[in-house]
Amino acid sequence: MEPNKLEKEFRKKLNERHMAPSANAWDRLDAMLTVAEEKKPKRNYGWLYIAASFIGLLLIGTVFFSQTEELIDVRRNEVVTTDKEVIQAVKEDAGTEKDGITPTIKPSETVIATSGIKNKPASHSKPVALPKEENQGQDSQIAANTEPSKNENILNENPEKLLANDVNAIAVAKPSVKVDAHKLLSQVDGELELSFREKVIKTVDKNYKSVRVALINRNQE
Amino acid sequence: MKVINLHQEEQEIIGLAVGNNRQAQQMIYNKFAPKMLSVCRQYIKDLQFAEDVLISAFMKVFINLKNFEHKGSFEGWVRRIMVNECISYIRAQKKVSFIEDEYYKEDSFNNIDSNYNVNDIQFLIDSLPDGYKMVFNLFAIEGYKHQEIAVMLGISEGTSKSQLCHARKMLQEQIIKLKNYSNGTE
Repeated sequence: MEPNKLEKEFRKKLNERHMAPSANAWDRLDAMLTVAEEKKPKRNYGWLYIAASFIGLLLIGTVFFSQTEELIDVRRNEVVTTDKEVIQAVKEDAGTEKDGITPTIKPSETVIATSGIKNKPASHSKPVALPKEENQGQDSQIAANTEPSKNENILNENPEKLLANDVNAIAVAKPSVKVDAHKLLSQVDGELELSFREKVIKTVDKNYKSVRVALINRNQE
Repeated sequence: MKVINLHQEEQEIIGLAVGNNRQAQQMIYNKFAPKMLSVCRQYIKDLQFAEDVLISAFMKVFINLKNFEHKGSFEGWVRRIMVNECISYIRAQKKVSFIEDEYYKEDSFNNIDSNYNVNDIQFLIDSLPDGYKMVFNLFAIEGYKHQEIAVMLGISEGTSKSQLCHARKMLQEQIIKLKNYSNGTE
């Protein structure tokens, strides 16, 4: 099928025809083009801002998480070792109290030990190389740094009472050893996280206060 | 030589227009708008609406100008956008019904070789309902095949053929009326 003669004539005449558009037609088109051109650059900037802020958040998040993990790992190691040492110390103490020697402790471990074990008094030691099993009331040799303190107090106490306490301490210590360790770990973990948070809050608070103070002083000047 | 120069000139102007050079864009508009408005008028009876379609079609021309591959005629490319915009407009305005009768026969209309003036031709085409008009314009004026028309309008090839048949019949009747009218006045 093809266009017939008539249709070809129609085509020819219509294609020759020109119709002038109205005067404001170009103005309308010009305005539409301007609007279309203005839209393009703005959109691009928006996406850039979103992308930049997202990347920023990711970076901050990774920095935070990496810091907290390190702290917890380091502390856990210390806590594990100190737990063992504390347990040893409890056993030792049972033995050494009779002899009237109370070894002293390193300062950093006091803090952890006291926070972990609330029941025990703040005087447990830990030389590194010590045999785990000890005999009651036997000569136990304590290596490295030991400074005598509170000797007089202990000597004054009733030996019978001491013995009774020792027995109880040992009895309590042995069966509950396993449970204590886990509890200690979880307690310490919680406290560590809190302390980190507290630090952050403190620093923010400090900064805010310092800014406030600075502002007030500026006005006064 | 002249043809080559013109082509190069056109390419340069198109290149500038792609870069949103308003002067270049206006040059393209001024060159093609009169002819393209005529094309729109074939499909849309109201001149104001035809102009609206012309403007929106030119927007599409400039937005898609970067995609023009300089393989075929630039005017042909612009015209195609114009025609598509007209079809979209008509279909958006009202639901165009294509009679799916698929009835057609090889027609042999006795065409009287008289000289029609362009206004009469437009009058005749205006008298057609939208469905017939679109198929007639695409086939007879634009030169598309029935297969292509079917794709453009979303109809079957058979429907396109039957639509053309109906259009031609109707035009014949209109031509007779027109001649009788003109004979009567003489």
